[in-house]
Amino acid sequence: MKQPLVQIFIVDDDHGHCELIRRNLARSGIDNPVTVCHDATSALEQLRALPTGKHALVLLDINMPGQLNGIELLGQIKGDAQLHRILVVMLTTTEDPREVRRCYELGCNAYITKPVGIDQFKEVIRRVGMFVGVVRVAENGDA
Amino acid sequence: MRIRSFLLTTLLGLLLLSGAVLVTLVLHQRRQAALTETRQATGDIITIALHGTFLIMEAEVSPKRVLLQWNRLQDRMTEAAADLRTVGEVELADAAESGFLAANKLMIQMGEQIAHGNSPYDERLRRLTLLIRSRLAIIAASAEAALVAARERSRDAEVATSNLVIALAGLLPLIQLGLLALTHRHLFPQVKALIEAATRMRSGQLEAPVPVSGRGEIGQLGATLETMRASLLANRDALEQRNSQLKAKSEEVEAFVYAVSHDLRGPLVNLVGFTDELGLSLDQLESGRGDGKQLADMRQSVDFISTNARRLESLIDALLRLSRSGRQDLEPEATAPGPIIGDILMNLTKRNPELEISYRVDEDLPSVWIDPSAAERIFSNLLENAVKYRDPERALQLHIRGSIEGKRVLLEIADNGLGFPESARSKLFRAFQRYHPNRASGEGMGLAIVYRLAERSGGSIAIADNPGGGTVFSLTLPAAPHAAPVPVGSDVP
Repeated sequence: MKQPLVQIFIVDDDHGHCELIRRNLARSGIDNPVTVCHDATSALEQLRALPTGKHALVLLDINMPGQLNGIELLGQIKGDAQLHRILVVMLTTTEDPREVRRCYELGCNAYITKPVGIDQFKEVIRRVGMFVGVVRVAENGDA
Repeated sequence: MRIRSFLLTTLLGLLLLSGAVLVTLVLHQRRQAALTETRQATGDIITIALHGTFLIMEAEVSPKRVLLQWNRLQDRMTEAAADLRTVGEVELADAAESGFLAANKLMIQMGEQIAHGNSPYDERLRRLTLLIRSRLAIIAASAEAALVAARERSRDAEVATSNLVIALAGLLPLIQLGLLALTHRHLFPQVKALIEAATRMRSGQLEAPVPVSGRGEIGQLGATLETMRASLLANRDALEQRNSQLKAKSEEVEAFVYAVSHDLRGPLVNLVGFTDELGLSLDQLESGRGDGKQLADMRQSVDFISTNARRLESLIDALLRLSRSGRQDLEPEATAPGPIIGDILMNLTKRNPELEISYRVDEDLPSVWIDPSAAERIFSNLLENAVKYRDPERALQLHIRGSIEGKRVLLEIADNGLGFPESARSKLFRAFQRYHPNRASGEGMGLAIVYRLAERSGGSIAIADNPGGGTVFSLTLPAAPHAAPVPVGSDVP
């Protein structure tokens, strides 16, 4: 039986960014299931609701308004006994060295500056895609 | 020490010196006068002696006249001897008198000889005259010697006094130097302490006060140094305070630039991304590989482009508003907040007729010292926020109250809205920060503007929980001069 694919979560309050990421993921040939969340609180709820053993990758916008921002959600995921294995790729429009350091301290797996040009965007998506591929290969290997 | 005291001692010394010279001159005068008297007295004696000698020579010619004259000479001799005694020539007086007395005896003998009719050329008579003449010569010689001795004594005294004056003149600077060292020996530790204090100041240790003692120039120098130290210390403290303020400000600016660039880039990523998406869709349509999906994608792309272009516009507008709130010249005046708040609330209820808003503004809110337009923007931002972030489960209630706290006025706007947890409060006053982004549209600029205006007006803004749910914004502003205390309402609407 084929292993269930890694669930990709796009967590970003900007609807346009979510749509761009979604389209580029599809264009890169990634057919993993994608869930889009516009705020961190509901993303956390959905992550907790994942069935045990289900793997997930979160593309997480760093700067979100509301009760929980990206960095806080990252902290919650990586500090949670159940969720800490989830891959988290931080997304930001502006790279702040202090913020990058903070994210790595909290245990984020990658850190990507949202690119403005489509070519840069593709490059980033390909990196994420490879990441996803590696995870999928590893899971297949386990099977 | 005082330069004056040095000059004073010099002046005193000179006075002393000239006094000594004056005394010397007076003494000299007196000595000269005494010498003249002595010279006269001795001169008299010599004259008398000479006179006597001539008289004796005449005795051979007219002895009777000689005897008569001799008696007169004897009277003169007595007077001259008295004069000699008054000028102090007692010895000479005695010698002259006894000499004359001896001569007188010989004279009497000579008179007796003449009365007996002896020839004046008689041998015995001649011997007598010779004896008298020798006596008289001795008297004259003694007088001469006394005069010479008196002259010499006078000269010796003169030399002694002038030596004394010279010695005094030479001694004066020495005395003065000694006096100087004696009266100012306490200055040396003072100067040393001042040098130590100045050295400390140079190395930046400004806390220890400069030891100030004495009243003279050193004391003045110490006092000046102390004033300098105090003002340096105050300046340094002010500078350090200013520096830390600037540092905080620069960190704030840095955070602000980051937030701005982040928030401006958001829509920009969309504009560029969806423009590229449009191009891709067009490519597919033009190459004949298109289906209905491309048209739907293009529609969505155009919508996103349109929304984000507008969002970018409103962000830039918000930035300009914030910039204006920082640059606009504020002209503070005594401003009554009550009417301003009343107008804003009336507008809000008019604009939101579907909402049930109940509010209570305490009467006689204390007047504040603020630019009225700044007050208007602060209150409209706070009250609009209260409407935007009301609790949808209950009717909005507002209570605006005020109190005077010393020279400041505390104005509180309490609502029963959604509220903010403790963790969110530190960020709320920063630009582009939104806590309830889904409740209402906005750029997250309102509270940043309120914060900036309050700060520029010499006040501050804080946020707290309203017991029973909601938020209390506490605005502290300088009180208008002569603001009267106002009783604060106790019941909540």
